[in-house]
Amino acid sequence: MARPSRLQREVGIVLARRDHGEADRVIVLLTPEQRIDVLAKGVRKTRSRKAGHLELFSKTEVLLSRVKQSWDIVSQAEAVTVRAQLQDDFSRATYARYVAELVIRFFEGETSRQLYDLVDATFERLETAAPAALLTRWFEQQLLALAGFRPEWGMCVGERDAELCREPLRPRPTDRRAYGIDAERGGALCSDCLARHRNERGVRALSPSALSWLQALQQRDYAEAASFDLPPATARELAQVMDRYIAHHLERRPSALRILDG
Amino acid sequence: MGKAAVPPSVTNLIQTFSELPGVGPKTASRLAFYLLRGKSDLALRLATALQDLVERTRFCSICYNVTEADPCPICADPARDHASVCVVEEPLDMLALERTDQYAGVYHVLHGALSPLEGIFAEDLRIAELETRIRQGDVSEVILATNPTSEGDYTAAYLVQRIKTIGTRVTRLGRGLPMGGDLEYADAVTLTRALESRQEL
Ligand SMILES: [Zn+2]
Ligand SMILES: [Zn+2]
Repeated sequence: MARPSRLQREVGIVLARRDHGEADRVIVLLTPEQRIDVLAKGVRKTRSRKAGHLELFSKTEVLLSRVKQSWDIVSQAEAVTVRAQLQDDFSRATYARYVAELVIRFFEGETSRQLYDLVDATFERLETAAPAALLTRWFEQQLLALAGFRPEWGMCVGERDAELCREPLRPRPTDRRAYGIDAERGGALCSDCLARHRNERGVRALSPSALSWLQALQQRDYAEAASFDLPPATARELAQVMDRYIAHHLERRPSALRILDG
Repeated sequence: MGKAAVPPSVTNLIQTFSELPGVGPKTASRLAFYLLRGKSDLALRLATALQDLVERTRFCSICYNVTEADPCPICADPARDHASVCVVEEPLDMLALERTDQYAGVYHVLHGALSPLEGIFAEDLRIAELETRIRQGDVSEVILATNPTSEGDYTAAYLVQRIKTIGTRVTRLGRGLPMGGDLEYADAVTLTRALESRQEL
């Protein structure tokens, strides 16, 4: 069967890369259709014409030659967008690594245009003035949904007498009792269900403020979510609960944010 | 020629050669059979050199460069400026800078760059040792000469944060270096220019 063309043009976002051999790099690329590993030969040499066009998070047009049973080889690379702010600003560079890590851990092979657009928009916002932590929390909710792990924040996922609780959750600042987060059942718990499931794996208390934020982050578009002020205490709580929630589903803790631990 | 035709000692050498970076199975076989022809004492000299490499070298306890004497000749040299510490990723980067003949200070070798996705964190590099060195010594300038790559820049950004809390002056090699390449491949002229045009952070 003849191949229509040996060379293929793609635009992709550089999610990760690792050194290979003496002067090569393996590049993890997210295109509108797939997540692929490609080989860029000689790219670590300063004179390479590809050098500088395959830095992390840049959007790059590549010409790939197909190699059977091996990585496709990058024969040309031309950066369309270089994300300079995601190289020089330590905090933004760290969140960008986390965004890329989540994509890599949750997706493999064929992916959707929606994922590509989400990642592209997120890097773009992360590079500009967006508050990095809030943007990252919003990204987590959108990514989980695309990955088929959309958490249920709107009604209780708890069980009573072998029946689903399904109590609608409308957190208010005046609520006296905590809600819950249940990673295993994939969503939030009403106060009664939290009391019942408290000692199960992946179950923790959740403040009313954190729950209403999770609802907003999931349902609203970014501009809308970002128009509210995220209080520092809630920001910390959200970072913690989502770290555990995601670690539960990945069966490992993402590594990129570890550097912020202290 | 079946596999059985090659004695295990040769197969073993070929296998070992091919674990080296940039050496494929073909090159490995060619090297092994070249040594086997034994026209000179090359194989024995190679064996001795490798033995020495393993037995005599260690890391300098000050800069973590590979050395036979501890401290290494650069750290032990009173003519060098010990208040200026140039931070590099690998010993090869240090050699590239030494080739310029323009730098009179001392070095600190991190042995890698931060890459959390590959499991390389701050504690896997000689970063704590660098901080201790800056805190304890009379260091007046830290020159960050990590590679002009995403990983090198990230490592530099991390180090700036850490070193600023100590209060020492930090500079970064100038932007004359082409983005994306490794320092060890840069030529002396470019590196000299980068040293001269280093920027305050
Ligand atoms: Zn319930
Ligand atoms: Zn030394």
